[in-house]
Amino acid sequence: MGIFSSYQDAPPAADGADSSATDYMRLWRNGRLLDMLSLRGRDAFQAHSERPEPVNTNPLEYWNGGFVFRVGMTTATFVLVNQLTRGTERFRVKFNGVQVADVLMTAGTQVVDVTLTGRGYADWLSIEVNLEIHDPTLPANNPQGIWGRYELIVACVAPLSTILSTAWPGTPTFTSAFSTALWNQLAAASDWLALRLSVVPMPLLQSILFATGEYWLNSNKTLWTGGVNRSGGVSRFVSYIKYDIVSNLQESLRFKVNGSVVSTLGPLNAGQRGAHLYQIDLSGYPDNTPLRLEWDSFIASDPATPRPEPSRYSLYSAALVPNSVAFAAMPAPIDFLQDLTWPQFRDRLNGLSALFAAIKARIDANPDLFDRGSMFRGGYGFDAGQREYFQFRHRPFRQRRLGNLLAVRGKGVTINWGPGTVKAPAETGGEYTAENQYSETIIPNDAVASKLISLDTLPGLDVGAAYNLGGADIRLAVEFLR
Amino acid sequence: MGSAQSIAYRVQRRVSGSWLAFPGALGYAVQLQSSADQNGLAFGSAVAPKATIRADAQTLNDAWELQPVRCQAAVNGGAWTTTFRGFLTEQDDDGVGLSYTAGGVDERIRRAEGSSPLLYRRPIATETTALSIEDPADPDYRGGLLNRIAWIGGGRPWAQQITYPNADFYYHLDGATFAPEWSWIDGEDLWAEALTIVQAAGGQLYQDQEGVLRYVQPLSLASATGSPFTFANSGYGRARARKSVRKNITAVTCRYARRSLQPTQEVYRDEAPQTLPPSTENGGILDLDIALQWPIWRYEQITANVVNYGGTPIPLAVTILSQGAQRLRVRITNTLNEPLQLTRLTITGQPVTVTEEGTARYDGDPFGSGATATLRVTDSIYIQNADDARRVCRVLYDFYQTPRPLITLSDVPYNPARFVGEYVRYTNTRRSISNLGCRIVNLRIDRSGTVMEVDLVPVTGLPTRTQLFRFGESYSTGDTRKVGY
Repeated sequence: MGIFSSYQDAPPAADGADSSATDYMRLWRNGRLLDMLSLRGRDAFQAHSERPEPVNTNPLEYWNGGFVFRVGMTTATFVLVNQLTRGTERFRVKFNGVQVADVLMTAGTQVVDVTLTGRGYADWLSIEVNLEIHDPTLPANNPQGIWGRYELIVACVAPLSTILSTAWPGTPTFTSAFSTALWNQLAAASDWLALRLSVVPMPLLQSILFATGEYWLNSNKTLWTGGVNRSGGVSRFVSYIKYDIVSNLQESLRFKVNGSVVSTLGPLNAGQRGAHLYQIDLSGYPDNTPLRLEWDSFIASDPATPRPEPSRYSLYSAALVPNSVAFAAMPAPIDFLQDLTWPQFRDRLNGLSALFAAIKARIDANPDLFDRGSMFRGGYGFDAGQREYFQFRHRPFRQRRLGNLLAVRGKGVTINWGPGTVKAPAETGGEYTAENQYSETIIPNDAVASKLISLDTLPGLDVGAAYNLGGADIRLAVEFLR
Repeated sequence: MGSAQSIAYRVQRRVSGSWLAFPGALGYAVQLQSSADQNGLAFGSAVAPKATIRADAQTLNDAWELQPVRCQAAVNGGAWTTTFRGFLTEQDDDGVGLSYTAGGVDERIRRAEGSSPLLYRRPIATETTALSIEDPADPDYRGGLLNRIAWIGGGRPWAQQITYPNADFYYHLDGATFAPEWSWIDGEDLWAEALTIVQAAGGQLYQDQEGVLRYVQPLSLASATGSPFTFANSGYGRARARKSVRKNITAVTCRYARRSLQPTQEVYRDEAPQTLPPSTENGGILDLDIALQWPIWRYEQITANVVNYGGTPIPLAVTILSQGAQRLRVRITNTLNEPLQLTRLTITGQPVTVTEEGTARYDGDPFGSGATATLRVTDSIYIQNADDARRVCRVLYDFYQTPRPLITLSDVPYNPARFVGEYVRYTNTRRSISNLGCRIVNLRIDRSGTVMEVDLVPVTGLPTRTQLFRFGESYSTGDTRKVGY
């Protein structure tokens, strides 16, 4: 069951109706759940890992991904950090194959907004996003292969708050009347918050599974790049990785923020393998400003073996979480037929009201978490062969299932969960592969399709369980609370 | 005791809106089959009344089936009081005379057919008042399922008799606090459904002597309304009080099945080929009744795959004639002058499915005195989450934990104004009982028709609505109340 399955809309009251401990406790439990969910963090935005695109083409296939359109969203935003070569490069955006923006790129940080309104998109429509960089002053191919360095650190849709068709009802204050209107307002506040939290998309992470590095001295291979925004006290970056240093010596795995190394694992030597959780405090960086993240490996010594083999790396999570979590102090519960004085009852109702107001304030104070939805990072292949090759190395992955709905677009897509088995190249004759105990086909292999599925229908895929999607052509994978 | 009074009886039937004398009626007998057990407070149906009418050989000339009838009595030449109102269900001609059997409003409701859309968080009954909107066809209708069932069965609100003077029967419902997440009816036995609803919500559903279907919510069972009648020492001959430990309970368990709204998906597919007549035959109409596996919150799309004799797809619209939560009637109209073949009909929508099951328990003796008696609540589709299951357990525990005496008063002068479900007071000075609040749970009228036996169950000690905080009321600092279930 999704974590929101315990949420219950409170039944509205009517004048003359009896008070109900059941309904009070419904709101009480809702409050606790909403409090928990408003304290969560979010996955980092993912830019790149593999760079399989040919660099001698014009346009340059740069990035692909997608998002689920919801009525009320108005803008898609892309933030790049550019080092241009000729100054004539242009940034092109395509939604579902249709060009929606084509702008001249500028050096340094560049923000590109694309209007979503007026395009006739239906609610819950899956949108594929393709980003290209092209230079109209160059021929259709670019034999020089001279492109600059372009770091995408944000690709998101906003606002999420306007997806709700109802305005925030506010929170009531009970004084002398056990007012029907005030109770209904309290219930409406709870329901509004549930809806508000539910519209936040949670794209699956494009995980890295046993990707290879380098074995050259002094090489620093970028393994992963992305971006985060810190806001409202959510400023601890965490990333769970695994490594297998096969033959390299003095290899370090480093996380950089805005180009500066902030956390280093190693140096590691041949034969070392294990898992590591990076925990990087970003509270010293400015609020609501995109930060560029990079994970790389750096080799400081010649490999010892005559025929060195590159190391292997896996990345299972990259997320921003609160520095500290302080759950709300709940008002006292109420039992059936419990005797209370009016001030006692009133104060408990007002306690719930204050809790809902605090959750609303927390949501408002964290626009990056709750008002902007990151786009899903698509697979790294740009043609069928590449996609086929990368399908085991990069899988949309969710370390902990939270919600109930999963929006998927693609072809030949499976969902996999349960205990996993990894097969080494020696067994497969090629790459590492992984299989889970349970697997179900979401979208058959005959055509690209979009699907919205309920994760509750998959036995054993409980809240907190990990799952991944399999298939060579996965264009969108976004989880929603409900 | 009661032999000094004179009783007159009459039977009437309603024809074209008027009450007329029942032809050849010789007399009648009313039986009240109470489902209330020795506790007397069993939730669900309390009474299934039945009347047998004896008549001479004169038969009814018109169609008698389900014709409304009423039985009335007048004591000592006073005004006529209705003692039974119902519908004719059986005729028995034994060669000597005729007898007719009449059932209560349950007979009428049982024979009605109807469905509802899927309702979300709707109280199972909403209070009927002079102004309440009761017609489900009204766009502002917000009534509960019990209101809908009563309306579909031909009932109209008791409080709106002026508007509906010729209703088949009337109903009067308390507002229920219980509002399941999802509720619907779908052409099943509506009376059985009504009882299931009341069992889940607590309270009683019964028909009074006027034929009014009444729902009393549990916290009203112990509340007096108006000036209750009192069975004083002089009002009965003998009083007998019996108690049984059989209904003594220490714990209650209740199962629930969580239902959740699912994403849009295909909810129906029928690939059995069917022929569409050409437009010249019956307008080319093909009507289909569709029963769905799950109740549907929102129908998204209905698609008919229709081809002609050469296999060419012919696009035809599908019109919804009527729709309920789990039932749909659609029409496909062939506009061509040639027969067509329907090869597939698919419906997409958002179903509500069972996603979780569990059991709640309330144990009044959690540390075990050794005398555990657990009441297991009958499974109900209306109990859909742990909160509601806990609530049901606790309500039942509070009402059932104490074995209440069943007090039988004998030789009570027949009083047609008394009815099952009525709140009365009972005094027995020999037992030092004075004005004990009770509910009448059964009445048995003597063959002579002049005396009766009355079964009472005390309701003292049960929680009442007046003890609770209630919506719309103001309170001051010193006020102490309970918070209801």
